[in-house]
Amino acid sequence: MDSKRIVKTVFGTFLLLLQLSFNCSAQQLESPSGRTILTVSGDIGVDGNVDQSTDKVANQAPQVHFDLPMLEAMGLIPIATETPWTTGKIEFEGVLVRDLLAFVKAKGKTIKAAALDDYVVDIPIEDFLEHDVIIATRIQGKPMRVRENGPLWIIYPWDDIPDLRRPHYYSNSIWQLKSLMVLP
Amino acid sequence: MKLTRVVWSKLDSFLLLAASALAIGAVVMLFDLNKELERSQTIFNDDLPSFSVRAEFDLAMLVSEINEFILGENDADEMLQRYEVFIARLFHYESAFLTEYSEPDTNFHNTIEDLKARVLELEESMYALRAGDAGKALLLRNTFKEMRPQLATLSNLTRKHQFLQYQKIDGSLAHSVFVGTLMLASTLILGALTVGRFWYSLREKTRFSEELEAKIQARTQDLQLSNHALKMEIAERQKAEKSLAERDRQMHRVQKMEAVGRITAGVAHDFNNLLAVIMGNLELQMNLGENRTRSKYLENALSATIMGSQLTRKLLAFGRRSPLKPEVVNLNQIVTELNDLFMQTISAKNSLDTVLADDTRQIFVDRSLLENVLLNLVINARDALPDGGVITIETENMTLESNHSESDDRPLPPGEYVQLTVSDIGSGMSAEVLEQAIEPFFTTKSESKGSGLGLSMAYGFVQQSHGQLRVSSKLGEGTSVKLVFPVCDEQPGVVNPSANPIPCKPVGLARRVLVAEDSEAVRRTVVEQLRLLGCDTIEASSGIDAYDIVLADNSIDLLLTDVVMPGSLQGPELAERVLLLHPDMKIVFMSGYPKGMDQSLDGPNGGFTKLMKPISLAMLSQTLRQEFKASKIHEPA
Repeated sequence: MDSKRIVKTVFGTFLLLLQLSFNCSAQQLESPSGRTILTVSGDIGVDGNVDQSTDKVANQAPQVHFDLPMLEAMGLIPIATETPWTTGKIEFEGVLVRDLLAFVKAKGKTIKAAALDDYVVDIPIEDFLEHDVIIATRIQGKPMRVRENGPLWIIYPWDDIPDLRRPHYYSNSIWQLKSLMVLP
Repeated sequence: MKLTRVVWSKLDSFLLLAASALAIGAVVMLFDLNKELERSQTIFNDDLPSFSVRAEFDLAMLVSEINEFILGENDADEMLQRYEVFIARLFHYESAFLTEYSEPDTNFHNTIEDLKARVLELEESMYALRAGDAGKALLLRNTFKEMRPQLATLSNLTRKHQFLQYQKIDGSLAHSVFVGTLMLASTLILGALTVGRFWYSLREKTRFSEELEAKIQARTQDLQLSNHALKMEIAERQKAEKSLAERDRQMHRVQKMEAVGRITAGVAHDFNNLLAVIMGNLELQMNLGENRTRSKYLENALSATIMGSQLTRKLLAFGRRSPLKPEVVNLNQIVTELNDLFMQTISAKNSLDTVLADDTRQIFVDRSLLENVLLNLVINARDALPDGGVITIETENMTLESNHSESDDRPLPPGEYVQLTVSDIGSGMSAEVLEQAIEPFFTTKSESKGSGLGLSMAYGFVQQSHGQLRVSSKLGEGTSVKLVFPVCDEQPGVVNPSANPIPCKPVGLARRVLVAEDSEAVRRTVVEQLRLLGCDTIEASSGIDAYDIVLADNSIDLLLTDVVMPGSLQGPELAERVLLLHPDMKIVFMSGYPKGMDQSLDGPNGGFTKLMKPISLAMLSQTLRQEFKASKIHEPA
């Protein structure tokens, strides 16, 4: 399991570096057409885009806005697992966090994640490189409502990796996610 | 020692038990602590207190959003989002984490369920709000505001609950700390005990080995001491033995001196008697004046000298120094021949009983001495029978298998023997007398009857003949004397008839005889005797003188020399030298002591003729006759 994790880490880092080398200069991303559900900011290698629904333009730092289709375009990964907050095995689908970070060319070491309920948690970037952690967009095949901890929920593969069933990872599993800030 | 060992083994087992108990306690405590840790871990940020706080916060934010909506600063979306978040919060209560803790608290549960129902009731109205519906919004806001005290109670409740949880953990931790302290203390005590035990056993071991060493040393010392004592004892005993042996030797010497004294006294007494006879008769003869006829006095004197000669013979026999002339004889024959003499010797009152074995074997002894001994024994037996009785003489063959058990000072070697027993049934002897019976000059008879030399002579003779003499006697029961002689299987030689009296007539041939003799009296006597026999004589007082004379004078026919003489030249050497000068010279030795004659006198020509002093005229005459007869062959005349 450890060797698998290491291989994944190395592979992920490799992919990240590969993408970074291709997009060495910041470039303009297309703005989301729908309602923005995630904002990524901080130490990223791309220029921000515009949240068209509010016409808010990033003022100080580059901000990347995602609507649901934009996110899901990165590829949905399924994780079937139990969680401490639900009953029974739940089918989650979402985007790999490291894919998202690669998409925005994140350079930092920590991700400051914030939720709609103003819950904030700092997650070390290793979590996403070592494990297949997803930002879940769907639960049982359907998009999540806010009252169902949606629309985005960071889900660890707890069933596959028992090591992750610890308060530290549970507290990292932020729901009602609304923004990510890459810290150096 | 055994008790302490038991105590120590008890202590050891106690230590072992205590250590195991401690180990078990430690395991249990660790288990407990682990459980506590798990419990404390579950109280993380999503537990009930934080839930309550978040719910309060969510409500406050919702109210604030509605206010902003009323003021027109915000659109409905954000307000509704907050509403949804609040609903999500209330739904979280159903999640596993929260129910786990809240279920026991029904108050909490009911409150949450009530709130949830009220919030969901407002859903339709909330989503129906449009921009500008300030009145409706205000109403809704107030409804939400009314929920705040309920949530606050919930917070207090959960805080209390949390406090209780922490108190529980704290208590259990304190308990654990207490138990841990106890365990630490007992571990320290146990460690100290173990160290003490170990130290004690180590000390005990060294002490034990020291004790052992000390014991060994003490034992060694004891051994050395006892060894020393033993050595001392041995030395003492050796000393005692030495002194005992010394005393024995002294005793022996004293006894010997006593014996010698007695012998000397006896000899002196006998000789005095003889000398008295000789002197008296010779004086009487001298007083006869010119009438020098052969008188009775001279015969008396001569017989006295013969008695003296016999005396010395007996003495020598006792001293086992007799010049023996042994021959093969048969005891039966001798006894038979002497029978007449025995019959004459014993008085008429007594009878002689001879019991002779049929075929007694031959023995090799000096016949005349044997006869003498037998006669003496018969006389002794007769004297033991003053009132008459039977004297028995027995002969028999016997065989000694091995060294005889009979305690003789000189046991006989195994072999064939002939035994002769002379026994009487007379007065016998007491043990004391028996012990001294063989000693010379010891006698129980009156002075006139015996010399005390009979048994002594017999003893000496038998010993010299390689036989044994045994005397057994009991007072009042008689005496028996046994003579044992070794068998000699040669045929008995021709019995020499006892020498005829030799006439004292001159040799007839004028011969020159050199007499070498240191004693002037003896020399003069011998010279006179020789002259009487018609010989020409020359005298020499020592060996060297004699040799000088022989060197100067060629006409000497015979050398008559003493064996032992003063000066460097003794008889045998003189003879050797003289023979070198004159090989044909006749040499005759004379001696009063037979020691020198036994050995060393066998010259190159075989034996020399030996004369035993005193020398009678007849003996001298016979000897000279024989000597000159032998040499006649070489004489031209």
